[in-house]
Amino acid sequence: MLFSERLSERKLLKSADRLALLETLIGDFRKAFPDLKFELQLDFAVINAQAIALGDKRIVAIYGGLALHPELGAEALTFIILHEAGHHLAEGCRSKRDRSLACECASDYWAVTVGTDKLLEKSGRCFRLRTALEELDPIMGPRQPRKERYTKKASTSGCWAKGWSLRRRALFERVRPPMIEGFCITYV
Amino acid sequence: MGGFINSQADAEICEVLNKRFSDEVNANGETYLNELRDFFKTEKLFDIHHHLHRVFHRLAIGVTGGASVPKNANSRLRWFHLLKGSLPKAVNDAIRGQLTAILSDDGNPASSVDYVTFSTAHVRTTSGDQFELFDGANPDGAIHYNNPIPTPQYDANGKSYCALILQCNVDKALDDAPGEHDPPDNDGTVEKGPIPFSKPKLKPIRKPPKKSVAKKSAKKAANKKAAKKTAKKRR
Repeated sequence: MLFSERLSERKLLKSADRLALLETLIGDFRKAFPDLKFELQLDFAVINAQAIALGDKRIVAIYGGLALHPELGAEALTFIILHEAGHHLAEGCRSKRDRSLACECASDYWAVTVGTDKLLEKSGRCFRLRTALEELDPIMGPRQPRKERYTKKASTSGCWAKGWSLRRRALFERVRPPMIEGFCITYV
Repeated sequence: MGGFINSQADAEICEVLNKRFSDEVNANGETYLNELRDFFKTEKLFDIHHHLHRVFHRLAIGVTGGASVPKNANSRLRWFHLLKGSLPKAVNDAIRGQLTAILSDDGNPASSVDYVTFSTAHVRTTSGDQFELFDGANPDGAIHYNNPIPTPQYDANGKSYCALILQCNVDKALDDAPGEHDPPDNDGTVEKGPIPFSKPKLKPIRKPPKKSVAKKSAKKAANKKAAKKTAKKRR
């Protein structure tokens, strides 16, 4: 996160409507997933969100650069928060940086299946994936370019999370991630 | 920690360190962390005679086989600059203290952990400084911030580990570092050569020998002949 992009101050959407939307959204997530701590960190202009495990505390932080991004609406924000919650709650493949968290593709799958259902059941919030993906396209496309070979040669997991076009398709088709204990994406 | 949008430079830095301090097994059948512990007996990598950015560079090129980390030169210089002098002294001391304890063979609790994890998080720091080092154990205990003594923990599989989480408080990009040397200047005579990283050799994949087309067609013809003969006999 040290090198994450920031949204310029003038682009931040700080309208009363947006702040009300964020409060309602976070309220719904708190109802649906009471074991997690959802935090709006609007002072940070970082275009990102993060699942953080601090000891026993399971935190989902949504930073200002994403929460107040003018191109993102309620559907995209819902998906982003579901994905971060998925890092804490999904089973299967683990994150390389923190083995208490699920990897990117396991979190994605959880978000569009178990997470979506639970959010609807507990809070009544309905989530439209197609709209979310369309809202995310201009943000994610340039930042998650598709690469020819994005997993290790020896990897058998087939993680898609590094390339947006693959990730988008997998989300839409609800492709089940490999339920293995191992690591998928490698950057070095 | 899990970010929604991948930051390439962050990912590269954390992963190269996670790999170097991991419990993955090297070519000699020992873990990468224990391999580093062996090297540490000959060179105390985190004493005051070593610069953190230089040690990071040496650890990283060991893992990659020569390529500098992060790949992007601008990000790399900014990262070196941070390690070289922009970190608060308490964080610098905590990093050195924790990694020394983990690599030492003096019997301290961290000296036998199975692996170490490295990550970053954007959260308010307890000190109010831009950076703080958290050991991942108990966020309510002041002792777990900027402490040179690590706190070993256990994962869901019963393996012991230490976590080094660099927490960032201020919403500001890392400083540019136009005068930074790349690669960093060496630390002189305290360096005892390249840090070994013995990658296990990948087993060559044996492909089944291809049957030649001529052999295949000869076999087919023979089969056909045999089938015809049996058909004639039946008649």
